[in-house]
Amino acid sequence: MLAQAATIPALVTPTGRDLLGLLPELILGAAFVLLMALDAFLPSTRRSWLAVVAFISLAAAFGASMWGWFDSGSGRTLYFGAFAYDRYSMFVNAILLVSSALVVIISPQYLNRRGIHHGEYYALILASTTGMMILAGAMNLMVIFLGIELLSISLYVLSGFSRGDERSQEAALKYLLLGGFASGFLLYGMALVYGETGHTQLAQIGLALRAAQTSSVDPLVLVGVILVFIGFAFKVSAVPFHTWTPDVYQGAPTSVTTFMSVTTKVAAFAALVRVFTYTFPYVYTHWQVIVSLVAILSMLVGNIAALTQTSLKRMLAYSGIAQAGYILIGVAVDPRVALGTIGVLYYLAAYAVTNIGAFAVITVMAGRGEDLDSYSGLRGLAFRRPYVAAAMGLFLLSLGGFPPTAGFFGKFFVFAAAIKTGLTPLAIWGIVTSAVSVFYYLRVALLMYQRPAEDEREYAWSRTSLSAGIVLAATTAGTLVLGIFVFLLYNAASAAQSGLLPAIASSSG
Amino acid sequence: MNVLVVVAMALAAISSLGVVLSRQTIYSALSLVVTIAMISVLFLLLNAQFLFAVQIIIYAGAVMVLFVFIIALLSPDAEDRPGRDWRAVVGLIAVAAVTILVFVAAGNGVTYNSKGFRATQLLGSCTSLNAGPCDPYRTFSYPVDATNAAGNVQTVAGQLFTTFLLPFEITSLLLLVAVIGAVYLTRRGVER
Amino acid sequence: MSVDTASALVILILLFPLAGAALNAVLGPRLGRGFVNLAGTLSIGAAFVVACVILGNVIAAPAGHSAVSVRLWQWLNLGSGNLSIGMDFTLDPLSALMVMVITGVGFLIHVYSVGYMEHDPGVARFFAYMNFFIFSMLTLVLAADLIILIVGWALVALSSYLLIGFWYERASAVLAARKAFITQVIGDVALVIAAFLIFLNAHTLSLPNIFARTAAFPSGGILVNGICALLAIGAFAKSAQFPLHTWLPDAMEGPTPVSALIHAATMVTAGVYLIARFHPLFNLAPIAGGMVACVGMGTALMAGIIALSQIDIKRVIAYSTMSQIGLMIYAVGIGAYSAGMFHFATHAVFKALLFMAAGNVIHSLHDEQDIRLMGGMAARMRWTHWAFLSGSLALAGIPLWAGWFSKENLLGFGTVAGPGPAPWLLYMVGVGVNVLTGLYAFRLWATVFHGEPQTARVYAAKEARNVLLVPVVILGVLSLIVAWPLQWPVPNAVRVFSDFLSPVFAGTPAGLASEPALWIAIVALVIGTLASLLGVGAAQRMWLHREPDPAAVAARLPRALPLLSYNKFYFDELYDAAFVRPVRAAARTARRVVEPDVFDGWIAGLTDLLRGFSVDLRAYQTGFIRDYAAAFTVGAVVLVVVTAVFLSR
Repeated sequence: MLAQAATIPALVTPTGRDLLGLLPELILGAAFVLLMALDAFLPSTRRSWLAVVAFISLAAAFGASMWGWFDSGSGRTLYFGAFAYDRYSMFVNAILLVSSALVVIISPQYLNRRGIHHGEYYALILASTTGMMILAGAMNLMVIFLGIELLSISLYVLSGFSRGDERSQEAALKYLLLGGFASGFLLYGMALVYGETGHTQLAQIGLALRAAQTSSVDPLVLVGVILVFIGFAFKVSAVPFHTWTPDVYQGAPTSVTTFMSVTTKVAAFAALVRVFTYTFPYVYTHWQVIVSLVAILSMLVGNIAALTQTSLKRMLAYSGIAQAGYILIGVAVDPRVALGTIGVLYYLAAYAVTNIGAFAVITVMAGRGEDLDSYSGLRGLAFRRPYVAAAMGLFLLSLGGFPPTAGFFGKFFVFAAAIKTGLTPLAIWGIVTSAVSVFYYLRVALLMYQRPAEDEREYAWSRTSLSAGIVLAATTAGTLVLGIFVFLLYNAASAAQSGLLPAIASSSG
Repeated sequence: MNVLVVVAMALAAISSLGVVLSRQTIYSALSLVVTIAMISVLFLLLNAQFLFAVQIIIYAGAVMVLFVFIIALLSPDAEDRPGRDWRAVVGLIAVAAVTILVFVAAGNGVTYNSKGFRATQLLGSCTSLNAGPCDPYRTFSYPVDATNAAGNVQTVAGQLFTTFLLPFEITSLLLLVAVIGAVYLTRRGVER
Repeated sequence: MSVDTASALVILILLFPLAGAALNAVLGPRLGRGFVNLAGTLSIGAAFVVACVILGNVIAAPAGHSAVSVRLWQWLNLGSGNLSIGMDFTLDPLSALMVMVITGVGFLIHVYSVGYMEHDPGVARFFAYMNFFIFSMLTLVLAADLIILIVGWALVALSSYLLIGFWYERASAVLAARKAFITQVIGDVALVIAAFLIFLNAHTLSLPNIFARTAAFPSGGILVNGICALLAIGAFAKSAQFPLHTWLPDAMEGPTPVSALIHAATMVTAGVYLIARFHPLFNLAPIAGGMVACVGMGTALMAGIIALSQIDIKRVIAYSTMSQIGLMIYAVGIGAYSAGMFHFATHAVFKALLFMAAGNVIHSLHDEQDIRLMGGMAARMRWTHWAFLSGSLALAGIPLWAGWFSKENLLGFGTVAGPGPAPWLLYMVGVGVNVLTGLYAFRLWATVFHGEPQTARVYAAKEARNVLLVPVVILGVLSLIVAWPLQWPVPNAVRVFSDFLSPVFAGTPAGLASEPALWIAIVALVIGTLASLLGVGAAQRMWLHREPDPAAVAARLPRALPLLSYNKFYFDELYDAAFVRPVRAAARTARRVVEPDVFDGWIAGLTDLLRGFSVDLRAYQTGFIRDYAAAFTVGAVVLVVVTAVFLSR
């Protein structure tokens, strides 16, 4: 390898297939540039066109991902092993792109109402999505780090997108500082892992750890693994690295919260599974306890703290923390059991469609004045907007895990995987905390069906526009379809799992 | 060499404390220069001469000069020092604990030798992913002698255009996004 | 019939009513009455067309291949031997028959509803519920997986609840709906326990697989008898059999088309269907079967007696329904499955007719339901009168009317089969029920349509409009002719119907459902027919000619009998005293004593704890970045220490 160092540049160049494998990311990258250029020429009244362009590019990237799904049956790596071209990343891409597209649809109306309709918004959404897709496919520690940074920096700016709003600015600053803090942990962990194994490519790291398994595992590599986990735990907002979540979710513009509450989690979990379940399976016994511990804490703190909230966004933020705990159960199961990964994928898809729906309701119903954020703002919604209230009720039931909604099967598969691998206490803990969660979900659901008191003024909900109708119909349908036609997504998740790179664990049994 | 490593590390640690604790912004910036310089010394000691040069030129040179200029232009006042409370103590203990732990963990079998940071022997057949007779764990890709033979700059360039080509390209997008974000957040008075 | 054809048919027949329900619910209120009427009826009409195709396919299927099971998709699969639930549906003669009746009679009732609900503002909601009911009922009868069957079973109860309480401004309607639903839930629970027991022993919930593994259930054992008893309890709740029958008369609070559709033709017969569908298990469970037969016949007798003295036109018909379903339950209890199903089919026709004709009367009298205030309607509602008469003749079992064929066929089996040492006993009761049926059917007819008009409203009554009349007349004609080509109550005569169903019930052992010998059958036919004629004749004399006067007859009977009849054997009072009051009293005591002292203590403690914990957590959410970073660091250090110290080996 060394002797080749001087000669490699002349001989090896990435092929066209490498470039083609990155097609979804390239499309979004190009659209990012295009949007910035268009923004310079479009009159400010025509900014909705940018949303159309963004939507088209997301759709194109979705098409490219679907093509990749069928093309990447066996799975291979791109760019000298730095990037995975497998069905797993295509599956995650699909979730991410659909989520982003839904957010783009509801954004123009909301941004106009808030008076912050700027072209950068769509560009940054696309850049962030690109970062997430890079993260989902990353096979190199450096690519993982850069993917996280790309998505984070876009989100920092998006959180502070409302420049005149102090809470938005505060959210951005908090997110930026704590994000940088977390990146430090992540990088330190990566450095330790690299220092101990000598590689940044996941496949090589996995092999190195497998070889080391015969002797003893160096504590330093374990410290590295845990620090990497902490970096991810920050991104998925797991306890005790969740503290930023409620503040940032509440401060950021609601459409941005919709976006980041779902997509960040999806991308970070995708990378987490790839790194832990498929790269570090040989130190599984060591990180399993840590992951379980964080999962237990997240379920506990998320659900308990959500109980006494009076702000919808904060409630959903804590609910998101608890959901991260449930998904972590799927990560904590034995890597040899495929159901864990399948459960995580199913849960992510279910969570994406449900949570986007719930946030979309408070985004599109927000009136001209302040955001729809306090519980009392929902009171009586069912009498004015019966369909919207019914949809919101469905989303809340799905978040609570009631059959036959998507959320039920997300939890079902994850818990089933835990029980199958002897982590029954974790599953029981999950069920108990789910029972607690029903309390606050139903509280909000019932609120919509209560008439406001005599002297109380009703919140002035905005009219249900076409775009809002489309998004709510799509998410409602998705929530139901994933709860009724379970096999559709289950089979896809199963196929995504079976070709997951790096295939180290499977090669040795 | 051991002594040099320890001295450079100690100076880097002390100067980075200076970055955080100085009340005057300019002192913080100057402490940062020392930190960066000390880290570049560590690079040099690890046989990464090219990185050493880059670190000095770009960070200690260009970036820090910009910092200092801006500080001089804006001339911010001295910061109020937040009162010390239990959090500071907790933080200190935590940081100390982790540092000690890492050192204990690393010292657990780590040896420094003339070839640099431990376990530097390269086994020829380790290029394939199949675990052959070699032990990729304990194997570094860039031992001193081989790297010197190929040339330090060439090795970095080779890596940059192969394994790290994709990260390199992503970085460009990252920087572009960061620039646009910064411009957006700081632009004033051009609403609508 | 290929699997593809079958799946397409299943999807279509389920989709039409569901789409109708969705359209009516979402677009109905906006697009108005015309759209609702069209969407509501056409969806069921389309389903009826599909049902005809299904019937044709089942008939045309080669011998031995008349049953096709399709899996639309796998809902849940946890590996072999574990829980596996498929969206499985089956098309066989039994389900084809059910589907035909549900969509056919259902379609006519929907057309009738267009007229009946003409002035109701909630018509979109009404048709949405009705279509949804048809969808649920079809799911129930087509299901080939026990879970899907239970889902259909529960959805049927739900739609029935919604429809009984359709006029939710009326407190009595809401109470009736609640009563019906609670009774249904008792049945649901029994059914779920039965499903659980079946799964524990057969390791599958797919109906064909269960029936293929009857070896898992030792014949006559306590297990299979227990399972069948639980299934029967489910059936009793749905079919309003003793002791779960009290909800049906109250359910008459719903609009009359609902009574015709749900409480006469379809839902209440689901219990009969359930037992017929599970006949491979009931064949192994003679004790449970005998219990079913006794309960069925007992309910038939009791409901017949009650029907004699009720004064609400719809309640009389409701009790007659209960009585007739009792006969069906009796039939499936003694193993005469196809006879039971045959009575179900004819009963669906003439009972829907009676309800709808009664609805016409009620409509023209402006919601008057008390038969003492009617009389002399025949002159004013000629067509309705003739149709009602046809239905009553069928109900009473007068020769050549549909009810005669099915009821005598059913009782013929009773001569040779039955529980215990003396099957004759239940048969004799059945003959008595025949007399009662004739009595109450013609008491109703005579009181409503003949005699002197009792109020001014009757003089003003007019014949119903065509949309209300045409379905009634169609069913009136059908009540006469529908059974002619199908089945005659004499062995070796026309037996199209039982031949059609025979593949389904092929495995039934000889001792259970053997046909009586020719001479027994003819004697039984003569006895049964004479009994029916006796009842009808006596009713004519008593209520048409007043000789003897019914009141005088009642006075000569033992005092208890009229009282019991009028007060419905005091079941409502009994349940009130036995269950409702004690529970309410217990609840009140619990609320006053147990709750504050025992439960509130720790529940409030727990909630306080959680709430307090929650508030504590909020206190840590200070909003200061330095606090967050501190928490972050401490968390990280803890994790690292845990790893490095406790886990590294």
